[in-house]
Amino acid sequence: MNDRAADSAVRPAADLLTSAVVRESFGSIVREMRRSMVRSSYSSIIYEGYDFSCVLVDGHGRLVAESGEDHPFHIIPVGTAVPGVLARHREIGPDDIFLHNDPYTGGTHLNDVAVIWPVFEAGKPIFFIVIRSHWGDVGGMTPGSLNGSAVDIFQEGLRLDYLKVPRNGDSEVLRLIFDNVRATREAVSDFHSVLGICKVAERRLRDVLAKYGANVVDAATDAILDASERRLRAAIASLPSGTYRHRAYLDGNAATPHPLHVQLALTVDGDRLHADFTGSSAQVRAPLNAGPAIAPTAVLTVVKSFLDPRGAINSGTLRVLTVTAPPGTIVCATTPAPCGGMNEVRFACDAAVMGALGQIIPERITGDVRGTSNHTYIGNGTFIFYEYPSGGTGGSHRGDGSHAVRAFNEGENVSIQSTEVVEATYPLRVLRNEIRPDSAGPGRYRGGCGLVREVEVGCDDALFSLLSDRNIVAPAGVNGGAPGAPNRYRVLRAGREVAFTAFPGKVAGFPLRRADVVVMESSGGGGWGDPRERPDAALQDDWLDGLVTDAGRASYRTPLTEAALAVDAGLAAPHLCRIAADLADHLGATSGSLVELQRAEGPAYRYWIAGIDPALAAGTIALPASLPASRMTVRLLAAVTPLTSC
Amino acid sequence: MAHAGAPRYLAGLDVGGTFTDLTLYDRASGTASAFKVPSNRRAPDEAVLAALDKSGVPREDIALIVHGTTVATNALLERRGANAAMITTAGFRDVVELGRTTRLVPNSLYDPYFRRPEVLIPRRRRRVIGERVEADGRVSAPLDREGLAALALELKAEGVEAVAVGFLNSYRNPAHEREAAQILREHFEFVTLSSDVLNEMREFERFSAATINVYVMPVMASYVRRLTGAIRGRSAATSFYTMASHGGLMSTDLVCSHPVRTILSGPAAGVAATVQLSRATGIANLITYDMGGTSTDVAMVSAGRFPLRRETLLDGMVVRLPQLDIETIGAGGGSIAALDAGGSLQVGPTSAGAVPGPACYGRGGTQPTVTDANVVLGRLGDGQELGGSLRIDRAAAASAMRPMAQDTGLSETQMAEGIIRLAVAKMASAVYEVSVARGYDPRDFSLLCYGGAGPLHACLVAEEVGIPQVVVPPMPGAFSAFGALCSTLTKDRVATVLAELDEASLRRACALATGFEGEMREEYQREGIAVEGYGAEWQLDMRYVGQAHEITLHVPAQPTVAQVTQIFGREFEREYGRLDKGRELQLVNVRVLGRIPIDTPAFGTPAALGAVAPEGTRPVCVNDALCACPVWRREALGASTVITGPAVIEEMSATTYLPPGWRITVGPVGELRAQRM
Repeated sequence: MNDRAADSAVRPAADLLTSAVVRESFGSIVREMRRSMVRSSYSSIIYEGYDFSCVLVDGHGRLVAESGEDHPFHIIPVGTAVPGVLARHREIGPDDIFLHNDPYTGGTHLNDVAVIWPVFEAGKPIFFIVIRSHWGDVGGMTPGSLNGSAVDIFQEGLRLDYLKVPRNGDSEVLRLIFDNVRATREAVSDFHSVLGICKVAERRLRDVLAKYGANVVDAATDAILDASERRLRAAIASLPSGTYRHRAYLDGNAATPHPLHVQLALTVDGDRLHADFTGSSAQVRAPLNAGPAIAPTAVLTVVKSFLDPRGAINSGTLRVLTVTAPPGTIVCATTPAPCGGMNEVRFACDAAVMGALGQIIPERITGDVRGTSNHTYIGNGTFIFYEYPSGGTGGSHRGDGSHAVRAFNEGENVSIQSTEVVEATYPLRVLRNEIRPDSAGPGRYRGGCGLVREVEVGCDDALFSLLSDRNIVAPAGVNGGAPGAPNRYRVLRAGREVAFTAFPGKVAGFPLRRADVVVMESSGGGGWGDPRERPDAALQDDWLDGLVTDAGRASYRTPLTEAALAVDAGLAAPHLCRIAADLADHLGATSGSLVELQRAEGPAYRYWIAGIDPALAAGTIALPASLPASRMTVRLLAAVTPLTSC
Repeated sequence: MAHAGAPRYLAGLDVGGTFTDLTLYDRASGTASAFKVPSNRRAPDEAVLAALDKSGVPREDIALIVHGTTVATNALLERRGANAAMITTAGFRDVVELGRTTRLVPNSLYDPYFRRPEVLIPRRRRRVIGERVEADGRVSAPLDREGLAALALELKAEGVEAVAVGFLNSYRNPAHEREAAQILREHFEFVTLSSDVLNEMREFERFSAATINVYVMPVMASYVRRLTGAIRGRSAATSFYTMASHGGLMSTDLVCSHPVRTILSGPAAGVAATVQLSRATGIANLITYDMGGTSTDVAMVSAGRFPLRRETLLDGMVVRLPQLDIETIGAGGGSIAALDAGGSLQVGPTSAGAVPGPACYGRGGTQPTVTDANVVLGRLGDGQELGGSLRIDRAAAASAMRPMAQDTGLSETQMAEGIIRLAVAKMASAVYEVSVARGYDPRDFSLLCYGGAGPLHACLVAEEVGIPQVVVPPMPGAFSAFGALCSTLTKDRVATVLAELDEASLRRACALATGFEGEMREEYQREGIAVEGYGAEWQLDMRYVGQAHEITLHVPAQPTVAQVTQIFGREFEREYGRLDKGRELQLVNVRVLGRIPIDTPAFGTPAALGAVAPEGTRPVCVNDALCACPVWRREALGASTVITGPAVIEEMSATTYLPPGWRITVGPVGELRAQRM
C-alpha cells in the first residue's frame, strides 16, 4: 500500500467533518451486519458463540471498518485478504465472490472461512465486504475438524485459497465443499445467510457512496486511517525507545519437542514498533503452527489493548507496526504444517509481547490469561458438541481478575453453552458448571479463577477430541504475582480417571462410553504483585466465597524462596537451567521440572531443569544468559514435565 | 373501567433522575397540565407526593395515578438491594456469575483491566441443594427437603432476608422449585422462583431474572407500600398502577412480587404515548426519537403496536423479560465533542451530564457539547430560557468551541456544524438499526421527536435516513408523563413448548394459552380489578428447526397450523429477506398478554386560527451562512398556520429547528408535522 502517498497527492484531502461522518456510516454498516449474522444463523457457534466478524475493506485493500465487537484475530488478518484475492485472480467480475481459509496466505485456521464480496463501480471493485465465520466442520479427521493430533493440514479439513465462486451460490465447487463437511445442512443455510447479509450491506454501502461520491469516500478513508495511525503512534511515542526481549512457551504435543517457544525482540523506535520473532521454534508436525497473519495480530492486539483500548483497528493502526516472522517457524508456518492451534501460538505471541511490555511499563501489565482456546469436541455421526471454556483473567494494578470470562485478547464469544440447551439437544448431561477453586494466580491482586465443567455422555459411540495447550505451562503472574492453575482435562469412567491421551490437552477421536464424564477445567489468570501483600480481609473474603481452600489461602502467606543466579553458557538451549542440589531439595524439583524466576517488578521467566549441578553454590540457579537481577524468587511450577531430552 | 361520577382527574407521573414530572388530565375539560418537581433519589415517593401537592388538586378528586419508577433500577445499579441468597441445583451455584463467559459490557473488548460488575448475590450466599429434574421433565433425584429446611435456618441466622431459587430444567417441570418455595416461605417473606419470573429454557437467563427480582423485592415492596399508604390514606378510591418494562401497567401486587418487571420502564411511557398519538393522528408507522442529555432512545412503533423484545444487557446482567424494543445510543445534548489523539473528531461517549452541563448553561462546563453547537449556530437563542431555571449563554458556548476550532483551522460555526453532523449521523445509525436492520424501510415511517433536544435535530436525522415526515407532539418535554396514562393493565404468561410445529404441538400450545387467559382473568379479579374490558393477545415464538433466535408472532386466538405457518413466512421474509423452504418450523414459546384498558386521556385540538407571522427573527447559521431566521412561538400556532424553513419554533420545554426545504403544518391534535417540500 505504498502507492497511497502518491495517490493522495492528486485528490483533495477529505475534511475533518466529512471523514467523521463517513466513519460513523461505515461503523453502522458493520454493526448492522453483525446483528443480522447473530439473528439468522443456524450454527450455535455463530448465534450463541458469536464466532465471526464483519469488516469493510476498500478497493485498495485497506481495512476500513470493524464493529468494535469483532474478534481481533478475525479482523486483523483481513488486511491481507483483499491483496490476496487480487494477487490470485487477474480478472474478477461483479458476479464473483471468494472463499478463503488458507492459513498460509493470511487465514487463521481452516474452520474460519471468509466470504469476500466485491462491490463494483464503473467496472472495478471499489469495496470488499468480508464476513469471516467459524464453520462447525470443514472436513478432516474428526467431527468439528479441529483436534490435537493432526500431523498435517489435510487432517484438518478443506483448504480454500481465495476460491472464486458465483455470488448466487449456484456452483459445482460449492457442492463439492458442502459434500465434504459434516453438518452440511447448517453450513449451506449459514452460507446463504452470509450472502444475504453481504447483499444488504452492499446496498447501504452504495447509499454512502452515492451520497458523498467515491472520491470523497476515498479521501475520507485516507483521513480515517491517518488519524488512527497518528493516535496509536502518539501512544507508542510515550514509551522509551529500546529493544525488549521475551520468550513465551507452549506445551507442544507428543509429536513435538516440549516446550515449544515463541521468541520476541520488540523494538520501540520513537513512534513505531518492530517485532522480530526470529528464534521461535521450527514448525511442527502438530496443530501448533500459525500462518503469517497471526504474529502481527498478536502484537497489535496486545499493544493496542494496553496503550489505547478504545482506539480503532484498521489499516492505519497496522501501519505503525512491522513484524519479522521467519517462514518455517511456528509463527509463520508453511505447507503442510497443521494450523488448527494457531490460537495457541497466538496466545504465546501475546504472552511474549506482554513479557516485553512488562519490562517497559510493568505496573500496567496484567497477569497472563488462559493461553489456549481449549477446543473441546464430543460428537458422533449425528451431533457435534463444541465448547472452548474461558479461563480467569489476570490481576492488575486496578484489582483482581475476573472468573472464567473472555479476556481482552479474545473477542466476546460464548465459550460454554446453556446446560439446558445442551441437555435438550445432545445425548449429554451437564453435572457441574462452577468456579474452579484455588485456580486463581495468587498476588496482591489475584487473577480470576477458571471454571470446572463436567459433561456426562449418554450414547455409546461418541468421540472426544481436544486441542488445548498450557496444560503444563501455567499462565504467568507479573510483578511478583504467582501463576494461575493450568488448564486440565480428565475423563472419568465409573468415577476413575481414564488415560485418554499420552500428552495432556491433545487428543483426536478418543472413544467415549456411555456414562463417561469429561471434566473440563480452565486455567486461572496470573496474579499481580506479591501474594504476601494481599490484605487479610481480601483473603478472608476469597475463603468465605470458596475461591480458595485452606491450603490455597495458606499459599499466600508461604515465605518465598530466593535463588542466586549464575550464568552457564554451556547450557544447550535458552530455556534450560541447572540448579543447586539444596535448592532442588527445598523446591521438590528434579531434572525436567519447570521453575519460574521473578522479582517484584516485571515479567516471570520460565526454565526447565536440565540437571542438578553439585558444583553450583548453595541456593544457586545457573542460566544460559543473565537476567536483569542477580537474585530472584524461584517457584516450582511443575515437578514433572515431558521435557524433551537435550 | 370508565365510571360516570368518578373523580375527575387522572395523574401520570414520570420519575426521572433529575425531575419528577406530573401530567394531570382533567376529564371534565379534556385538558392536560404539567407540573415539575425535583426528584428525591433517597425517597422517590416524597417527590411523587410533592408533585401531586403542587398541582393543588385534592387527592380525593384523583381517580387514577400511574407512575413510571426507577426505584428498582436504581437499587440494582447502585447495588443497594437486599441481603439475598440463592439456592440452586448442586453443581450450578455459579451459573449467575459465569453466564456463558461473556463480559456483557459494551465497549470492553480490548480492556485488559476489565472486571465483571459485582454479582448481586455473592458466592458465599449462593448455596446448593440435592435435587435433579431432567431435560424431559422427569425427576431423577428428589428434593432434599430436610437439607433445605436446615439451609433455610442457616441463611436466616446469617441475616438473609430474601431467597431466589433456581433449579435446572425447572422450565420443564417446576415441581421442585414450588416444593422448595413452600419450605422457604415459612422463614422468608421474600422468595422468588426462577420458573415464576421467567418460565423459559436457559438457566443463566432464568436464574439471573430470579436474582434480580429477589434483590430488589424488599426495596420495591417498602417503597410501594409507603406510597400507596400515603395516597390511600387520603383517598381510598384512587387506583394506583406502575409502568412495566413492556409498556403495560402493573397492579401493586404484581409490582411487589415481580419488581424486576419495572427495571426497564424508564422510556416505556414515551412509547405508550406514541402508540396513543399514532391512533389519534392516524399515523400508523412512527420511529420515536427521544434525545436527552446523555443518551438518545430510538424505537419503532409499527401498526400502532408496542415494539417488544425479550432481552437486554444492564450493567453486566442479562435481563430477559418482555420489554420495549428501544435502541439507546450514548449521544445526547450533553455529549462532549473532542479531537482524539489522532486528530479525529469524536462526539461522546463522555457527557457533561446535568452538572456542570453544557458550557452554555453557565454552570462551569468548559468543553463543547452538542447543545453548545446548537447555541453557536443560533438554533438555541442567546438568553433563551430552558426548563424555567436556566438561561442560554452564547458567549460561553462559543468560547468552549474556540480551542477546537482553532486547532483544526475552522471557524466556530463550521466546527459547530460538524459536531451536529456527526451527532446526527449517530442518531441516523440508531434509526437504521431499529428499522433497516429489521427489514423495515424508513421511508414508510414518520419520525416522532420528543424530549428536550429531539426537535432540534429531528429534521436533519430524517433527511439523513430518508424519512419524509417529522412529528413534534404537543408538550414534547412532558410527553413521557402524559404517556404513563396511555397504556393498559397488562399481565403476561409464557411457557416453553419446544416442539416441531404440527397439530399436536399447536394443540398443546393452545391449551396452555387458554389456561393462561383464564388464570390472568382470575388473578385480576382477586386483585379487585373489574374485568369487563379484559382481552387477551396471543403470541408464539417460532423459528426454523436448527436456529436459536426466534421471532415473535402475533397470532389470533386458537390459530391453525396453516395460519401460523403463513404468519411466520411473512414475518421471517420481511426480517431476513428470504425463506428457508424445506426446513421444518419449531414452536418454542407460547405467550399470552392479558390486558384491561384504563381511562386514558384524549389529546386536545389546536386552535383553528393560528399565527400567520413569526414573533421575530434571530441570526441562525443555515448551510454555513448566517441568516435572519424567523422565530415562532409554539403556543401561537393553530390549524391554519404554515411555516416554511428555515425557522425556529420555541416553546417552554423544547425548541424545534426547521431546515430549509421543510414545511410545518399543525395536525389534528396540535402536533407539528414537518414535511419535505
